[in-house]
Amino acid sequence: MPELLEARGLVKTFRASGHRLRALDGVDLHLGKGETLGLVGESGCGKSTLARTLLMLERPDEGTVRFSGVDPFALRGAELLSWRRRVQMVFQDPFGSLNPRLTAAELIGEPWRTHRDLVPSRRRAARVDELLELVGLRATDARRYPQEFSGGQRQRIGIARALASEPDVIVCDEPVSALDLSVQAQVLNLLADLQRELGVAYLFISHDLSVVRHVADRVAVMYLGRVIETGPTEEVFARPRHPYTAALLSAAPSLVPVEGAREIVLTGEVPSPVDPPSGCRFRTRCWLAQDVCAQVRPPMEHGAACHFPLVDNDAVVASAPANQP
Amino acid sequence: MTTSLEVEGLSVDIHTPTGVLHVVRDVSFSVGSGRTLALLGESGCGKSMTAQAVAGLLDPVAEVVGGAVRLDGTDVLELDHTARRALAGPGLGVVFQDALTTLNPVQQVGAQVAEPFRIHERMGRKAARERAVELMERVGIPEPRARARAYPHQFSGGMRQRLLIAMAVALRPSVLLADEPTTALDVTVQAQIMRLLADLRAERSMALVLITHDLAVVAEQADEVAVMYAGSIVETGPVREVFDRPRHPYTRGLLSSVPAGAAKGEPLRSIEGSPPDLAAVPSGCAFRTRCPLAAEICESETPALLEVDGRAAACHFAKELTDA
Amino acid sequence: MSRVLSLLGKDRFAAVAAVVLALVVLCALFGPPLLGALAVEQNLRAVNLPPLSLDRGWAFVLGSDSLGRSVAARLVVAAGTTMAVAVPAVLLSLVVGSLWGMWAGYHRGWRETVSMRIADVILSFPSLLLAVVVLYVFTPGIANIIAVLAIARIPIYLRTARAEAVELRSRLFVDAARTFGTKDSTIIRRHILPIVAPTLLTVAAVDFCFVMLTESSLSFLGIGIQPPGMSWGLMVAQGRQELRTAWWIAVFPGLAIVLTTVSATVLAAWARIAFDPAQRWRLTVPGARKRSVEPTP
Repeated sequence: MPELLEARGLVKTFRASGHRLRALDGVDLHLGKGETLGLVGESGCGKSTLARTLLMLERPDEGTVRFSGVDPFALRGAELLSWRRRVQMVFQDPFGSLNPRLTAAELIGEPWRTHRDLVPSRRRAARVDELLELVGLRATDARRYPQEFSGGQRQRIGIARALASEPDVIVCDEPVSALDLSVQAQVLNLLADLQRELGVAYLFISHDLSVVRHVADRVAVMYLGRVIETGPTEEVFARPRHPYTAALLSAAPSLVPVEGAREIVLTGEVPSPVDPPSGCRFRTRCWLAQDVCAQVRPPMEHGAACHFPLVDNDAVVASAPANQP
Repeated sequence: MTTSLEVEGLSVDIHTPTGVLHVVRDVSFSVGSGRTLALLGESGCGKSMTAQAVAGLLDPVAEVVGGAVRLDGTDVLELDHTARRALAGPGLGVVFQDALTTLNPVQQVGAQVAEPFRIHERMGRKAARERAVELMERVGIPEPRARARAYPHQFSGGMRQRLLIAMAVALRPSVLLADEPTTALDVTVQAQIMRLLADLRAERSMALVLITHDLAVVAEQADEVAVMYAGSIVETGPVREVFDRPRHPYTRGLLSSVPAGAAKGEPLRSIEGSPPDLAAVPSGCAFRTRCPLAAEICESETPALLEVDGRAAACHFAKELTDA
Repeated sequence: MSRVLSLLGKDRFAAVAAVVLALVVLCALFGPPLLGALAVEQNLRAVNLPPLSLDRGWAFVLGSDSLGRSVAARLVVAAGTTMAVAVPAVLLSLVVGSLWGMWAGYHRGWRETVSMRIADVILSFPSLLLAVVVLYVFTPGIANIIAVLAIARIPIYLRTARAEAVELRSRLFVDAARTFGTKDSTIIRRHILPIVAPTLLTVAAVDFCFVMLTESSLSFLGIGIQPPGMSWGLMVAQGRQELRTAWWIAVFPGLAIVLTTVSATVLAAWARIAFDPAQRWRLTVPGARKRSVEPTP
């Protein structure tokens, strides 16, 4: 059975003032029906470009995307339109992603203006009310404008709009990072409820590890345009095999600090994607780096793209450089 | 331990076309040297406005309508503009969230870091530059002498934040105010910056006021916490105690909203609704409309922030929550 | 509609502007058939009468010109010609320039580059010179004047619309619409046009003045409206020689141009707020527009 969504060897290069910026550098990814894949990485790692490519907002330079076995980039006309319907997106910024001049009902019904036969026009008003209630708003909110809603409510409208075309996959690009903590929890609960009810699959992009840990079945960690580690969420979080994942997990502040645990503090910052390191992209910040890391791009093996994957956590702590005075 | 910063009954109003908003209401807290106090709250709770009032950086539409801000014993709100600048300039350092807009884009960073020395210690250009380079080295900027000639846009986000910290601690202030210093940064860089702040605090025995919305940062960095909601402090006390046994339902709700605690698939116990619009804060207890414990008394009476064994919570049911 | 009117009633300046514009439109529509004859009737015994010469009847309330024609009647009739030139010229350049600009800005790439170069060429060529050349070659009829004025002003809208479209294109709600599979033309119509339109209308209102003045320059040069036809611009041009002896011949049509333009600008600024759901509340708060933020004492 083919995966619902599958990407292989995606490469995307942007040209900016004479520089070539490799945003995606051979990304493989798959997503099953009703599953949540968490995509983690720091700024500039290419996770947003990946999302935009999967939604066909960008065309990859190399590599393939398969949706239920079909390449959406090869589709035209009505077939393309029906594919568009099945993959939707929830954006990070609930203020920028809603046109301020349209009411909630117009915003939610927007997909139906393109997919005309999805909901018959006499049913549309009722369907808007249903969707509003589904995402926890009131039917009376239909005539209000985005700026009359709070951030969390706007994000609910964004989710309702994504649901309007009855998609199989929703790409959530940092859907809660602009929201307050108490509201963030409401939206995360809503997304979980919708998945249970509708069986929709999520590609959940976030820089917040605790959020990803909470929502994702599987997780993929990106660094400078590549997926460097992937696997079931609990496994990756409990026993990271790539040094970067280990450092990322250790650097994230946690509510309950573990007494005596040594924190790996990486030196430096993510190198510029305009001039990335050769071989393993992480080698310039890695405390395990050897000569081979500069020469050979590590293949993805057992869920980690590393020449010297970590075997157990004690070794990480013992070998980590970090806790400098 | 000496008290470096003491804020007492601070209230700030904002004048808008539709009326006056009470954005900070009767806020009191104090920080000792070498300690970290976290002002924790969600957007619009008044934590940044409090910080701006303390630092004397309020927007002209906002006005301090009451209270005292004592920096090493002197109430800076009583002073005139010049006296305040002479005292608070060196005595109080401020680090902002957005380092790119805080730095002047067309001036070499060396000159910007040297500015505090030139203004407050009346140093010559050369000597001030020398001190700036030393300071840049201390905050972890590689090759400080060469980098001092660079401009802000040539630095990464983390490095710009380091520059801001260098400027803030230049005159060895007794209080450092950090307003969401790591919110715009990546996780691995965030850890570096928090470490730098903690080291500087210990090394110079500064009092650090950390303004943030991130509970985990508070848990890891702060000694004391003051939780703000709708302009008031609703709970305060030592971080570990407050986070382990919160006495205000809002603090409790915040803590259970953090996804780290709950297992995958299990719903988060979030707080109903969203923070109130400051133009329409509920009467009595501001939190009552979202509170699971709300009773009639919460509507009629504003709960006072009552101190019990070193902690305080502004809730009519604080005692019940303590015993529970 | 009634809601728009009630909003209009709350803003005194906008209401006055609307009344002035309505009056101009009425004059333009009904002036020529009613006063057409009076406007060309010469009376050599009533040459250069000053305003308020009421003893010869209401016709000379604004005085008479060097041929003894009623300035008031000519003003009303000229409104028709002036509007017949300015309105189509502004509308034409507005529509063509805006659509072209949004199209260029939305698609970027070569379409944008070529469009902007064309705009630069038109703008760098003195529009009056262009008009002179064209109108000498062709006959100086109303249609040609409109065409020349419209072409000369297209770059103004083209540039504004392009700049706004480029900015809006990168907004998330445009991306969101693209993920639904919405067609480019639909995105421009639904998401770009409604947001750009108020800005363009404001530009058009200001441009109205420019077009009327250019038309008057052309008329002055003898290649615009041809006598015995009349327009405000032509009246200013004709009255200019007698400014010392009979100021009213040039001043009243000049005043009409200024009043019309100012009214159009005020109304455009008002409409910009009234039709923006995010800003409309400003008009319902008394005094809010004049003093958005109260200074602290």
